[in-house]
Amino acid sequence: MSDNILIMKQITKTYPGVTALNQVSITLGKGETLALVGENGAGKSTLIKVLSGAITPDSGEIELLGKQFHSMTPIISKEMGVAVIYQEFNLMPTMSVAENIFMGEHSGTRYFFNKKVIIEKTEEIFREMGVHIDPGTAVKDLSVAYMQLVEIAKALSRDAKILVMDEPTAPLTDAEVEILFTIIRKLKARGISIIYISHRLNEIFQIADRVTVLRDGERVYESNIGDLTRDILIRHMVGREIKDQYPKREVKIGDEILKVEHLFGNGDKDISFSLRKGEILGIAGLVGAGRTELARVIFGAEKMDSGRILLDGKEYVPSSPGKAVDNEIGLIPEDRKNDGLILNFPIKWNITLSILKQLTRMMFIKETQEQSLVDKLISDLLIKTPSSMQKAGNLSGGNQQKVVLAKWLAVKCKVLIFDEPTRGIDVGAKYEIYKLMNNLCEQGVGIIMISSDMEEIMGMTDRMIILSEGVQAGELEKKEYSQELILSYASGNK
Amino acid sequence: MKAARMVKENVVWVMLVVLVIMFSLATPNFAKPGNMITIFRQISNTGILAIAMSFVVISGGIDLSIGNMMGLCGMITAMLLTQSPLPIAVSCILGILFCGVLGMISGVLITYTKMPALIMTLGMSYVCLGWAFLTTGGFPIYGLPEQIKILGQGYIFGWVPVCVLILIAVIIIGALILNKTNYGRYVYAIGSNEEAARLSGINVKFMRVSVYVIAGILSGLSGILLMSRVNSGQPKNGNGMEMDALIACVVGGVSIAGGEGKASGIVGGMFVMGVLANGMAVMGMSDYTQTLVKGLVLIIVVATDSFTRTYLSKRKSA
Repeated sequence: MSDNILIMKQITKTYPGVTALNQVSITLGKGETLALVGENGAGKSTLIKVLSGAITPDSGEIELLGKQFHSMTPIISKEMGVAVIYQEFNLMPTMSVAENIFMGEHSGTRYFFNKKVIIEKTEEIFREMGVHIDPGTAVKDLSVAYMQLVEIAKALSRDAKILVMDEPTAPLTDAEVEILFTIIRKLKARGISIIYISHRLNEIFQIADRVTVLRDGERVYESNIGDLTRDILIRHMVGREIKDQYPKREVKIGDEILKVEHLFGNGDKDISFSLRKGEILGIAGLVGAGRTELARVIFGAEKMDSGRILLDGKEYVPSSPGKAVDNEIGLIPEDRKNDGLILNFPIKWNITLSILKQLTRMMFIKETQEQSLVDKLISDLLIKTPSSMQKAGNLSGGNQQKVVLAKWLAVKCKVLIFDEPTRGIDVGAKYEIYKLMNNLCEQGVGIIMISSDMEEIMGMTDRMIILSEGVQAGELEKKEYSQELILSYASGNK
Repeated sequence: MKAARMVKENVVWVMLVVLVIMFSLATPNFAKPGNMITIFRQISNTGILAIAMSFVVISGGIDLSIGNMMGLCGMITAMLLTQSPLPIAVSCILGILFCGVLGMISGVLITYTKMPALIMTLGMSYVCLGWAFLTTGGFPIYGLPEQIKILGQGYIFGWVPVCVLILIAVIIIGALILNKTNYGRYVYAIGSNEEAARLSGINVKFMRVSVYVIAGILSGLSGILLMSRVNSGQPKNGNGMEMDALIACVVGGVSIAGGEGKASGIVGGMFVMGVLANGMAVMGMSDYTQTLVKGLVLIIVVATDSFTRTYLSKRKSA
């Protein structure tokens, strides 16, 4: 492809403690479909946000339709013909399809909106796409697949030249995926370029012309689809050999502490596993596979529909987080800013929130005892802060996560669920968190670990179950671990 | 940045001092000890109501029914006092508990139907007002026993009003609960981030309901004091006072979004409102002017607070 319509050159974007993109360059030809692949956190969405103008890169250049930019703004990006379709649609549910497509566009006379014109225009776009949707239907009455088509139509109505699709097939059924692909092929034929982000490798081989692989914020590989096999692609996505970045632990694994039998609920279907003292059990799977959902059911934050949980051999019904805390089950949530911490609370209050009841006499908080407990945890976990009264919101990501950990250490949990414990945390703090998990194992705590970082989950866990679309797709012992195997279970191939 | 934060945290006290100096200079009658005690007496009702409101607002809710609930409590207690053989203390306690039950109804409906607190308590406010009128067909209830007067009109040591002592007791207990107990910590927690509080094992539903019960009980207490002061049950007693209480809270630094607010600030807030009302009355300004000024004060304080807040956060991110 000689006539590139988009060249992104050496884009770098850093956040405190994390390099999200490091000198990443990509090109996109006219009418080309480029697949952008990589693990979660590889930098795909950051790159897209740079292109759409949602974030400003630290350095680098963007050449779009022959024009040079240092950074984009959402308006310039749109005007230059870039349209991004996110996983969460940007549609007004109660308005009609036609109104959504022409939202913010001027049609009709000077002051009045001409319904007939937009309906005709909408029909024309749908005719080109080869789909049949009544432009007068309210968007909320459409299925997810059709909503996506409306998003595409919206992009076309604005004369988009580059269409970015972020995991477009995630909510679709197989038949709907076929419809989507037919439309993508038509768009290609019309000279529209497409950036396609997906975890599903099969689709990439069906639809893409070229693949760019990102890993840890760097572009590590690029190839035409014809020169590529699935294995090569996976190898590049996963990348380097596992080095000794996961501290070893020598722990005698003890008796069974938690047993889950045929659990249904919160979107998960028929999950069974057991956890022993001193063991780390991994729950692997793609985003949306039902891992967090499972953790929340066990913790009592969501309802369990049916199934049985045994805690220390006794039947346990997870009815509320409060009950979980009383039974020494802890959850370190995925979204630490919204679910794990109260950001405007001082560190001290966050740490003691779950055990405050035990720190009181006649309802009054025993303040010296609270302070000494907090001071000990702050020094044990090396939380870097000038004072225990510092607001949690002012800490770095790693230190915030340590505060969440401290809260659960204070409870002295028997079972602790870590949901993406190291997401967005720098390498040093990650290592400290791993060491801490090992310490807990030595003390006989049973740990469940959810992670999208393949290396991490393979490095840290003793055993894992793999979920795929809410179903338990596989279970592996440590000696059976291989990235290819896990990926293929996770993508629902077996 | 430090200066801005100092102003933000103490704006209510700065205002109070400025107001006191202003009124002292403007009229010689203001700064007299007798008038100071009058101010205390005048704020006892809204003061108790402000503490009630602060529990609800800090927890992330709002209760607009506590004003009219005062009137309803006064009517029901007055009826018990005049028409039943129950002892005075029992009648008063029943009146207060009745308001606690009304608060619980609001709390349960808000918590379990997830309806907005604003709407639920607005509805409850109308129910209370209507009910208060219906008890007697709109007529006040006179002829209360002599002893009940002591609450609203009595003095201890000849100069300390009983109602002021009750206010001080409510403030101290309220401040202790908010600052020193796990219950108070949970109130702040659910107002700051309900989901994180829930995932920390706090029984969020119980907390939600309980703050409305507390608000109801305090509103009932305030209603009985007012009934005693005017020596009769009046259906419209307390009408509109919930707004004065809310303004006192907000002026005192309670965030309407929940999770923020100090007992000391709320006390400052009630004094600002009390001094303002009293000073203007002493200067001979009309009720209408007072209402207008109250509105202006609310706007100025919240505008200053919001401005310094955005200013501070901009400085932080820069």
